[in-house]
Amino acid sequence: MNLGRLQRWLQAVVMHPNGAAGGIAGPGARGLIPEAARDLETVVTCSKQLSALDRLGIYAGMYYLRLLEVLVAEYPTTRTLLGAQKFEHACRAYIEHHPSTERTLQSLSVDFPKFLKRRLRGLKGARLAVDVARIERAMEEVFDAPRAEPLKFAELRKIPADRWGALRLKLTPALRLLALDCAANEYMATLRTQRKARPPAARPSFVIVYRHNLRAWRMTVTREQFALLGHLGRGQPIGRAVYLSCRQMRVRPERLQALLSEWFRNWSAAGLFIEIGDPTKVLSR
Amino acid sequence: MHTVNHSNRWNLPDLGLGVGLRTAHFHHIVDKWPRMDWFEILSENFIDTEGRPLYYLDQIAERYPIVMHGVALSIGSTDPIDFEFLGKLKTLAKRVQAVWMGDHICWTGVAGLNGHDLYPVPYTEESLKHLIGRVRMVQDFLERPLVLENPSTYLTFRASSMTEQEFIARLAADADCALLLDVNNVYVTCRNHDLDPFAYLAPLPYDRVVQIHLAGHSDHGTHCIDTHDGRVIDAVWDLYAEVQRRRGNTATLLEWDADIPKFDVLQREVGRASRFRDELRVANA
Repeated sequence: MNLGRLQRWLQAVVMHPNGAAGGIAGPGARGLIPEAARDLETVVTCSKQLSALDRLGIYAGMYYLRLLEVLVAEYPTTRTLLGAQKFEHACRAYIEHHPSTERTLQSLSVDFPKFLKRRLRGLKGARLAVDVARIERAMEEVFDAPRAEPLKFAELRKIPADRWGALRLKLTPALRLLALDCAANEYMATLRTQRKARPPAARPSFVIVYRHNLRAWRMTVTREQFALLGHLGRGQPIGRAVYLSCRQMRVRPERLQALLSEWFRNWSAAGLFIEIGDPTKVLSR
Repeated sequence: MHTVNHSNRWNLPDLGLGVGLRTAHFHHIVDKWPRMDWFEILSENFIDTEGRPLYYLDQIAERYPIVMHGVALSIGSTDPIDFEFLGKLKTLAKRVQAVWMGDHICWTGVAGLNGHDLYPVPYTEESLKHLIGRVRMVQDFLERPLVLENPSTYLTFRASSMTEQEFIARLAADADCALLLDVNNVYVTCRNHDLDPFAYLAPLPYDRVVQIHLAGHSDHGTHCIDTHDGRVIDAVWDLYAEVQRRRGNTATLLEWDADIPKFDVLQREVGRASRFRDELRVANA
């Protein structure tokens, strides 16, 4: 029997959403080894204790369980919010439609928030669940992001005031900017101290997720801060970034300028700046 | 009386007794620098990430010998060899100065997918030829011998024309690769396929065995699953003693990947292996 065909057959069987029996009878496996659907033991032998189907079932069961374990570990609050059963159903559907194509598991769930958005569309609590999933995915991404030494605020302070406007600051690759539909970060914070939290009403919120001292952190920011970080991340000089943020937010520049020193000090303390110079790409919506 | 063979084909060292490096113990290790001869890493856990795992690994690799053991090489797959992935492995090996690196005699996916499981190959002449060619190619790329492990298997293919141990012996000889003999996997596989584990051990080429794995497993009565979630059972220790008699002192590693206990429990459990090694030393004195 051809090795490649046998491998594609086994994979079609163990990855089938209805388990090994469903896989053997499914069109994928039948198209590869039709005789297996009639007599499985022509392909896989039985043991004294287990049938050939039981033995295939071990691999089929482990396939979903292993990947489910990864999603459970990466999306704990999304799971709490949806309930274990609903979450597991969503994960199984996700794994079915987004099977892993990578050698490592780091990017397995990269499309899970988008998948949830489609799957939950129109259901009560969907927006919050998707927002929480986006935060949890961002936590994973910043955890694994490339390492970069943060710029100290003292370094920034050395720069003469008249040069700040033309300065470009490179943001850490371990930073994600999220524009959300709900106050999901506050909800997650409440859940850390209380078993239950009242789901927040829908209102835009802005969250940054970043890695600092090897830990992933999340912080709610204002709309203005979010806009400014977005422009800095797209490589705009500080002066231009402030101008664009003011225009976008319809606020007077003087209002922002009064806040900038404190913002930059806090962002610097959080390790968001790594270099004076080239723009960096930061995910944003 | 078996001949004790202290050397291996590559004169790779007997590293003594080690354990798998797991996230749960990172802090303990760099805080206490506990007594341990060496650590084995799961290669994929340190690829595509530059966060906390690598931060700790860099420090640990400065103090302990590191061996790289993977689960995603998919050496038996009929998909093309993933040289990008191999490049990442090679880079990591250089970074941690890996004493050796290896994976399993299995495949993990085909047609661009990855099931993140160790699927068995049919033990046929076609599979053997396929694996020999790929192992040689990978070894050429990595510029070092590949250390391949016998996997736990839960099914057998009707098409197999030789035993697993015969397949492994021929693969090792013709591809000129090294072997990692997992005695727990020998036990699990033999239980699942109604085989005598001591008979399994007999034809293996011990001059190519550079490492031994010990682990716990789950016994479901009708079959066993290689879960790495507990202590090594007596029957597996008996197999270990037999391998020690045949092979002589060999780098031995305890795997414990689920329900991971405190580090001192691992130290004590792997320390039980010294009894057999010491007995051997006395016997050979």
